[in-house]
Amino acid sequence: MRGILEMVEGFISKDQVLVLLYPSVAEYEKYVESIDRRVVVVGRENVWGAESFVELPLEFEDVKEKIRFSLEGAIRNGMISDGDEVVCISKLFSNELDSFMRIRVEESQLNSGIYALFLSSKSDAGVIRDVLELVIELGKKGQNGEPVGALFTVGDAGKVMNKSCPLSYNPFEKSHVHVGDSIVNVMLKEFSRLDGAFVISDEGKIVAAYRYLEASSEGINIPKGLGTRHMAGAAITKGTSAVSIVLSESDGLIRCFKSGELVLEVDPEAY
Amino acid sequence: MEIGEQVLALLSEEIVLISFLLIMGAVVAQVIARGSKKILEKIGIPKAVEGTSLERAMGKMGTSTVVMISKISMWLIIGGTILVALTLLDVNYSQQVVDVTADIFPSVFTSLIIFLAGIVLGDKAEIVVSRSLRGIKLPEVGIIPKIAKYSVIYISVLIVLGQLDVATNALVVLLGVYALSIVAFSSVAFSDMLKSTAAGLYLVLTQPYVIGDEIRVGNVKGIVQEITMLVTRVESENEECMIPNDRVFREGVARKINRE
Repeated sequence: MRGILEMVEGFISKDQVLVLLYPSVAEYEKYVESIDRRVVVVGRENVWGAESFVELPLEFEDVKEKIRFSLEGAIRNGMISDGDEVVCISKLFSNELDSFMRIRVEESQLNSGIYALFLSSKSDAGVIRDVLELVIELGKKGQNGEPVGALFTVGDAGKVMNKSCPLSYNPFEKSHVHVGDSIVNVMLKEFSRLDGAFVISDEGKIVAAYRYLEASSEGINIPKGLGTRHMAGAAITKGTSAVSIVLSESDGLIRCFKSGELVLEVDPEAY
Repeated sequence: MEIGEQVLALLSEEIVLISFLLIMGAVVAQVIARGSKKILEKIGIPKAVEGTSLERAMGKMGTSTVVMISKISMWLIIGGTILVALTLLDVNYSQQVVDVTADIFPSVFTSLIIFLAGIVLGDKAEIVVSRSLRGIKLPEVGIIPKIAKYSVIYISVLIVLGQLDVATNALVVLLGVYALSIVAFSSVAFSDMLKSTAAGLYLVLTQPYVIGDEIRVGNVKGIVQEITMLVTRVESENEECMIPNDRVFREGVARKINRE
């Protein structure tokens, strides 16, 4: 049986760019050695020492989403441009690169905002990723099977704290917990049934829960039909450099806001 | 005739015994090799050595570190059985040779394993350090992972030589001087950081101010954004300040009280 590598070798034409999605180190070296094209690698962190590397902090299970966000990142980093043809090699069924497809890059279809969210935010990309992962898990499983809603603000915690007031006793007072610790994830899930927002600092410290966000909603334009939780989430990002990540209780989607605008909408099930 | 038969009988008895021994040795060696491979895989060695140069070299030769280690242990056991077989045969080997070999064998084996482990650990140290320095785009920074790698390999070589009873005193002294110089340099270079960390520990434990409070340290005034072990980040109307924690300690801190 011919391997994927040989098939790609015969398939790829001179001016196409090879995009490897989450390859292992050995696979990356194999492809770079035998295919003399521009190679863009997509992954969590650059373990390959690759020159053209796109950081995609969330590994989507849905291949379409994965490719979409990867190409978007590559465009943002100037590795490919509108109209280029790329050959994407990805995992689909097994745990190794087992499928490839040729795609024409169309910039107009690639502006979901995930890169604006991760790269041009003041807070650590890893912190935003951790929160997003947590919200995705929350959206998938809900609280005891029931769908839950949640609101997290990440970054600029000092200002967010001054623009909000406590609804109840803050369970995270005098604690030193950070998002991403596994025990914290359980705690947050338990607390998420309660009203109000979670405030998380630039470096991932959970500052407070049960915060009522008091930002003015003047001049905020969010899609019609979203509720007060989304409005509060969007409004708090208007006057601060924070981003807010909102899990909708009614439709189960996750929406991220920045500078008062909706920048990303993901379905937890696609992840 | 009779003598010939006796010799044959004796010989064949011995041959049966020896061949039985050799077969047993080979079987045990196989079993141990398989078992050790499984154990090594279970404790996650393949994942730990991934990306190291040893594993890459092994990969080029079509094997892997785990297979190599289990092969080494297999050959050790086979070698041992052959040695025992030779003793039984009494061919020209004086007892002394056997004793010496039996003495050296295990230590050679352990030193081989330690050496391999040293190389792998050195590579791993290099990878870990260079990954943490990944963000720094400075060519000279490449030397730090290399230093980490060769320090680990040096120590493993020291242990190996100690195993083989080679005089290593001079090398140990060298290691001591090296370690001491690192301690001396870093205690001078990082003294401010040490002070800040000590102060930061106090601040984190007692929390005289929290994120969102408005504070003043010296002439810096603003809202606290972040408190880490080393610094307190404060933001005012149009400035973002990083105050080293030892400064908070030295100059004291004023916190605004809301009287509404």
